[in-house]
Amino acid sequence: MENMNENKTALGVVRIADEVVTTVAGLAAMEVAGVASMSGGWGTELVEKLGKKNFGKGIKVEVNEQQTKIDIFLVVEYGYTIPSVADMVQKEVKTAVQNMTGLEVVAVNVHVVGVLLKKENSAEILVDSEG
Amino acid sequence: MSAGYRFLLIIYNLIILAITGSVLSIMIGQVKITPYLEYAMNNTQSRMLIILISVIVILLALIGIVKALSGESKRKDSFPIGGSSVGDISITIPAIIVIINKAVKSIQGVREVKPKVRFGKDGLIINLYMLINPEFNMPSMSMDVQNAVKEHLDRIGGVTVSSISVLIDNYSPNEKTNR
Repeated sequence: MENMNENKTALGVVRIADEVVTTVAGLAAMEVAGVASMSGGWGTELVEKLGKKNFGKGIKVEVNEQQTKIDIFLVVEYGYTIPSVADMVQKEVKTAVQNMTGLEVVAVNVHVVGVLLKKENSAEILVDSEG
Repeated sequence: MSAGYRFLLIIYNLIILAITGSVLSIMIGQVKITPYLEYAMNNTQSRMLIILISVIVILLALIGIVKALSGESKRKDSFPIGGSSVGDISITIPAIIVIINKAVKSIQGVREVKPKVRFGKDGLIINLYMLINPEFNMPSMSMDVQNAVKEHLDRIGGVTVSSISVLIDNYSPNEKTNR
């Protein structure tokens, strides 16, 4: 069964699937200037190429009770200052997830796994694929 | 790769090695399989053992496939470049290499560069193996490369560099400048 975040209210229980949190985080991260793409595993990339869009690609969510920890794997466009982009991603993702789901986000860890050279028209994304 | 996963991988490989070794021995006629097979099929204990080993091999194979597909490997080889109360920020070696390549390309006279990067105690340790054009002064070009790489990594990546060593691997006398 899918992982769910549960919130008990007077009227009943509200459950939010982890997939929802990853989608919210993914969309928020992609809106930040300088983020070229999210980086999923090659399995996710393959599935996406087959036509299934995955907005939660490159996002890992860990939920303990009401506390949430998010890991984001992304590719940054060349020219942007990576720490600034990552900092903005952290803030945007934290705000978006907290506002939309009501979960308390304790950590947003950003892992920059590639840099995209856009201007040269030769997308040079190097992503670690070794074990 | 975690110690637990490495242990599972070793167990899996040992089992596969034993199975393929046995199959090979049977195929080249060193071992007669029939008596062992009959014994195994008629003995409940042996059958249970074979079933158990088969289940373990299947489970280990499935774990390996899931690990390979999950993309968890991306967390490896990452270097912390910042962090706050919100969380940590890290960058991987492949991303650092893209920045290094870009920095080196901005220097005239460099034809090719192969960067090797590792993490030291005080920051990144970078070794650059370069192929250059002959009409440039090597020491001054190397210094330009070092400064460009340090500046790019600091400005774009926010990465602390401990040392940048340049090794002129080769030079191409027949080529004109690439830029």
